[in-house]
Amino acid sequence: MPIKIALAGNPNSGKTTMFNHLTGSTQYVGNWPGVTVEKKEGRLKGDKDVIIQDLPGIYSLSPYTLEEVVSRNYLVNEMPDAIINIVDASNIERNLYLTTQLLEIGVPVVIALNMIDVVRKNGDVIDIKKLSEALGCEVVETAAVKGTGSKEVAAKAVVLASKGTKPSPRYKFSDTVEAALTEIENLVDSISNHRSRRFFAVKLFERDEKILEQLKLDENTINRIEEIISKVENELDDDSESIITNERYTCISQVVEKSVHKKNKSRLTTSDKIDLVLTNRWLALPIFAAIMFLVYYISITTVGGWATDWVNDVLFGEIIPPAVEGFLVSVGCADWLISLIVDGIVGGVGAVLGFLPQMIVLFFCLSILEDCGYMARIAFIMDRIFRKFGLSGKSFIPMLVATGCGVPGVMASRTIENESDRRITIMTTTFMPCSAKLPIIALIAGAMFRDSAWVAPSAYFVGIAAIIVSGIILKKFKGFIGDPAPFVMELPKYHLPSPKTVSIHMFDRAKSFVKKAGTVILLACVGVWFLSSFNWTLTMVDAENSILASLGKIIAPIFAPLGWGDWKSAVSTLNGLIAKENVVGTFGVLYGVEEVSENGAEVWAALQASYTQLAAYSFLIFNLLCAPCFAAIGAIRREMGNAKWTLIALGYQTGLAYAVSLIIYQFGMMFTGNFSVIFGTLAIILVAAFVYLLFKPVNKHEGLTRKAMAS
Amino acid sequence: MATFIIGAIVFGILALISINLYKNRKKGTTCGCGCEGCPSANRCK
Amino acid sequence: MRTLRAVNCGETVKVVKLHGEGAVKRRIMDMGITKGTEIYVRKVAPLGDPIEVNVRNYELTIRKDDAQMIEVE
Repeated sequence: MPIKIALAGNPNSGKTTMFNHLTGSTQYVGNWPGVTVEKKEGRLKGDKDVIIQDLPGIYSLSPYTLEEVVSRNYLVNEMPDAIINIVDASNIERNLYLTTQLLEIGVPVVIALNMIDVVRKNGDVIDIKKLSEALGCEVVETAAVKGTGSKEVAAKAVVLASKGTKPSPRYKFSDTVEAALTEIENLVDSISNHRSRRFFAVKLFERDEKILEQLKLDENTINRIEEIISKVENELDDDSESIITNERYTCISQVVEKSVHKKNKSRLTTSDKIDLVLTNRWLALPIFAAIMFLVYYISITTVGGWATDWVNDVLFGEIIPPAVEGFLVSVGCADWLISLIVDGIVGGVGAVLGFLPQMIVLFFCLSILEDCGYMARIAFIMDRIFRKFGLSGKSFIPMLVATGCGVPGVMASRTIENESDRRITIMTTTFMPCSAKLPIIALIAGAMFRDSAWVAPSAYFVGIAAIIVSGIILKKFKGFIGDPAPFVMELPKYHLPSPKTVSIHMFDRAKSFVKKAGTVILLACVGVWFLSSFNWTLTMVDAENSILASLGKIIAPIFAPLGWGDWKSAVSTLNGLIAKENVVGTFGVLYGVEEVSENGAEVWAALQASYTQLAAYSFLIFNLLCAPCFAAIGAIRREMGNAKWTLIALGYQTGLAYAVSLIIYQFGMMFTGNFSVIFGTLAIILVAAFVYLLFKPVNKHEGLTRKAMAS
Repeated sequence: MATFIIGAIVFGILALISINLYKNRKKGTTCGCGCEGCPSANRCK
Repeated sequence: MRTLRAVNCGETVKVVKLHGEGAVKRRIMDMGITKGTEIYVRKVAPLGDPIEVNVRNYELTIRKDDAQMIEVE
């Protein structure tokens, strides 16, 4: 039987770094609460018989957030052999709050007193011995970033696990509460002999509904417990949940007072000084805008852009395809195989891979922002704006992540406690142009608008506008009306981004991008090549007469009102469901077949021939807003938790994309004097509908909940 | 002959990729987007 | 009744009582704002909401609407 050790701690306590040290896995470390949402396992380095279970970063074991429920269910029901509790020593009071709850579970606990180097640097002293005595468990000093102490912690945890020594905290709650807890412990038979009896007693005292459900107590017992609770509540004039929280913090204050010696109480740390500037009342927004501009300027326009141009035009334009083709011709390969390799594989995958340099630079910049602690400040700065649209500043984080990839973006929405906020965030996050959509933007901007500077920013603007409008409109529908979400968030200390973390993060994302190009996209390109090179009788033909063309022509009319009713665009859009880069990859294959000379600019020329600027822009917008790739759809399905909401989300996204593209194209046509009676009118009706929904007064429902909140 | 050899290599690789994708998907280590390296890969099932 | 919402930047206040109930209240308390805790109001976000406070030696941000639930002296 392997030994199971759980890793628990607050967000930003260095838990993920510790996990990486212990298991040697390369997991990404972020800086806002909730990066590691699901539990993650690994084997202890040097001892394969020990399994380390990473739990989500949590502040408490309350029943109110998913992460906390997941964690406590694991700890109580699956019974790990020991818990390593990571405590941020530089923020010890709040971190020990979770510790007091972990100690009650009755599983051996080792405390890793992390970031001890920061504490020492501040000149503070923590008396480990006294702390250990007061908490009744072992305490080890660690500095996870530097890698010191992790081994000792693991070794202690393994020893404790085999001994099974329960923690025995010295601190006590007030007599009234202790008496009540003991009474509950003895009253409920099913927990009297349970090793987590203290945990259950406290939860019953807190009237924790999830635990009440789990224990299935009879009515008589429930009434008895209720009597005990109300007696204490009356005596202390507070509700039972607050009583317990108060007791915990009171105990912690006493423990900390005895064992921690602060050198200087009110001193501005470097982090505070940085914060004075970055979240300054007047400077914060300009700085934020400047930082975001800089990130995109560096990654899209300059450094990343140059490299991408080179890869697209030189590497996959002048070097690789001619070389491969030359070789295949010289060995006497059949024409169809040359076509498959050069047009299908090299052309399609190359079109996608060309954007790798831009991605790498973008990921690099974003992971620096995440790692140094600025992301949480962004939520702080943006909250007011987002709340106007019925969302919270926290919604900004998923959206920012979604500029990298929609999948983690959708998943990052888990940190939003409020269900309706979370649903809206999930539905709207993928409106943000993700990295896979950048190639589409770059292609349209390059081919149709001569790299005009406004196209790419306008894509982001449309994405943000779609989110805002959706937020306002959706909040007016039943199912999205809920109580306003609490926005109580820690602002972690700034720290220098660690080169290791940033590079791991960047490398991971780049790797997944390449992997995707080498697997899913490669297969899709081969598939498209096949469908576009053969007809129904399986003889090789021009793309115009291929299977794909005949299929495309069936669905193409749907998109005619949007200005791009030709089959190639329709097929590309459908292929975008596999992965958005595929839109470009498909263009590469479809137009590459026609034009033998393999050069990015050739596709541009072909595109220019078959699109008007207006139609191209409408095509771009549709592809930005419509249902995301299958991977993101999967993420939406998981986060929504049921098929109905997933379908609503996808339907809404595609519907909105269609409506917006229609409006753009038809209005554009009107201004150039080509009014289409049916679709022009439809566009006008749609605009009117949007305006109506935007300014429609808020539903009665919300007014009621607001009132209920106020009273 | 060259066609046969190169064709075999190409289709061999394609088959391998498909099988691997399918396997990973079954094991639940990837969401099918090929992103085992991504921070949320373990949630991609 | 004076609440945290009305406290000016740069002031330090002491918590008297927490109003409200359920998840929001629990969350605020979990983060260390309990009876008797000292709160230093550090700043207001650029757009006037939320506020940043220092409690138990770390930085916390909280909306003014939620801050209204915290009675201070």
